[in-house]
Amino acid sequence: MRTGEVVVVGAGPAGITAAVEASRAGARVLLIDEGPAVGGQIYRQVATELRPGSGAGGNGYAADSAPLFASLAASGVEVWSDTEVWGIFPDRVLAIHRGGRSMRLQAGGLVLATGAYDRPVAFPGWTLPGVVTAGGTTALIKSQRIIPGRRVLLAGTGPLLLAAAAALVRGGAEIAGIAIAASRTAFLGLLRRPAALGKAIDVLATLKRAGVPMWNGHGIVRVEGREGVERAVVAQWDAAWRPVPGTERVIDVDTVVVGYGLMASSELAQLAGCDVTYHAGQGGWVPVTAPDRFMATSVPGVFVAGDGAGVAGAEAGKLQGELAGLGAARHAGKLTDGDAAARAKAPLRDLGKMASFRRALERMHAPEPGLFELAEDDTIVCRCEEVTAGEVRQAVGDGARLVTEVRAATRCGMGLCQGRLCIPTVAGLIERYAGTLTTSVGRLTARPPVRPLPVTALADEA
Amino acid sequence: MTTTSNRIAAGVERGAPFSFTVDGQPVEAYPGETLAGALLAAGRRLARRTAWRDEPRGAFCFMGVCHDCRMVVDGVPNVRTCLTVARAGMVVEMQLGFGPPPPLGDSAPEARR
Repeated sequence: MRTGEVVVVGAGPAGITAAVEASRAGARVLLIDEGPAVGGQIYRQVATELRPGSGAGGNGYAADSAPLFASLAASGVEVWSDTEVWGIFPDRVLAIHRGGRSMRLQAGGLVLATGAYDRPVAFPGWTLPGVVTAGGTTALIKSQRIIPGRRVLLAGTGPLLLAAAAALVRGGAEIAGIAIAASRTAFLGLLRRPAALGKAIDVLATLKRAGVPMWNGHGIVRVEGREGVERAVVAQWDAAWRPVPGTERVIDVDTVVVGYGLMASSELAQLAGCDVTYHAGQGGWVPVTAPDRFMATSVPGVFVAGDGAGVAGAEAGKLQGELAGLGAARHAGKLTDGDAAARAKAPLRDLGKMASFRRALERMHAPEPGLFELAEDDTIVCRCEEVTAGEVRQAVGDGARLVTEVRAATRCGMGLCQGRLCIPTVAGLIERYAGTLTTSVGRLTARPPVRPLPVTALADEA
Repeated sequence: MTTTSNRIAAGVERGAPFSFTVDGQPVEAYPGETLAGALLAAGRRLARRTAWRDEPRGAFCFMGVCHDCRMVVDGVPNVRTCLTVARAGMVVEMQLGFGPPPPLGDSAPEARR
């Protein structure tokens, strides 16, 4: 079994920063990522074979990502792309899948920077081809320079939705409108950070120049079509995100982009045995941690950073990455307590300055109850196993009060996505049907493999 | 929808195009594109039909999480087209339900990335 002084999982802004910081502290560092190139989702790079040209290309975050990529290239960090972590076992042993083979790896200090994915929202028609996520849309545009459709409606909340809209406009799509759940004033809280302000002005200017209709306090109701999206229905939403009767409007589009915030990808932290807590505005179940303990989790030697530690955006993620990298290097015996504490001062102070920005982001991303009332009885909740909201309602009527009980009764969450696309909805539906708070319905137990793994890879284990 | 309408011209220099087939029809792709990307650029959104309700599905998350973009690629079912880079001559087919049983002694193309 191979060993590494510090292993970092996830090469987005948080993971890259953690790896570079640990390397600067003198540790031998291995950075693992499942994508073809470093950057994660937000700093996703144009596919190398597409040869990014000068000018309008790149990931839209060149000013932020270029220095980060440069510092990684200049460091001694070893990078393994196209590599998935499918399990974590005691004493920080990682099971990874690389080049068709499985192998194990023991980490002295481990940093999990696993990021986030779009919150799944079940509404009538959300499974039709042509309904896509906001994160997926930006990923497609950044890495492939392809837009998902020509005439697009967007619905959701938060800065990622507007960034997706701006990317679509620049890519030549026609935007029929943006239905924004949050009120206009909710966005003001985000503008307290100058860095965020600059990006927001850029995005809003792009949308204004294109004459994109922006409907604040509106949301998606349903999508219709036979073999794919043909039209979408939006309505004014009240403060609880419930449609106001009589305000529906039907819009002919070929594509619907949905982005109601992000879910923290905390499966690996859960597999490692880290204590988790539920935080609606930070993306569900997140590891219990504290910045002033180097982003340490409840498991010795395991640190977390970035959206996977609670959704807070790239800038907070980088600061957490700095702390986690220091913590992991210290755990691996590469930094004294005094040195680590001294180096942590600046990122800790900067993280503290972001508190009001983060609270505004959390308020914007915490779903209101109406979001879980869009699904009708025949609306699919579990895309993999084709379980409907009606079947979940039946299970809850029969007494199910935990997501694991609904899964046992309906198969909801047993498919290939391992519950990532349905369990957040199931939790909301249990609250809708039985009044049980989302914080009390439990979670699925993360089990290896957390990524699909061909049996042949196991047979060849190195 | 023309074959190139969803490709953004600015910001990249694409290499020489090549073709693969989807359900027997040729599809043009450029080096570096994923199957899901090339299919969308060609106006094709349907990836599979579901096992129980026979409903159409296409790429949804574009990052390997949702598994809805699965198709049969060179005879291997359940290949996530959003993660699989297109290659000349690939034979891609809509997946019906769980797809055909995989060929023995082989692993999915996405595992061989």
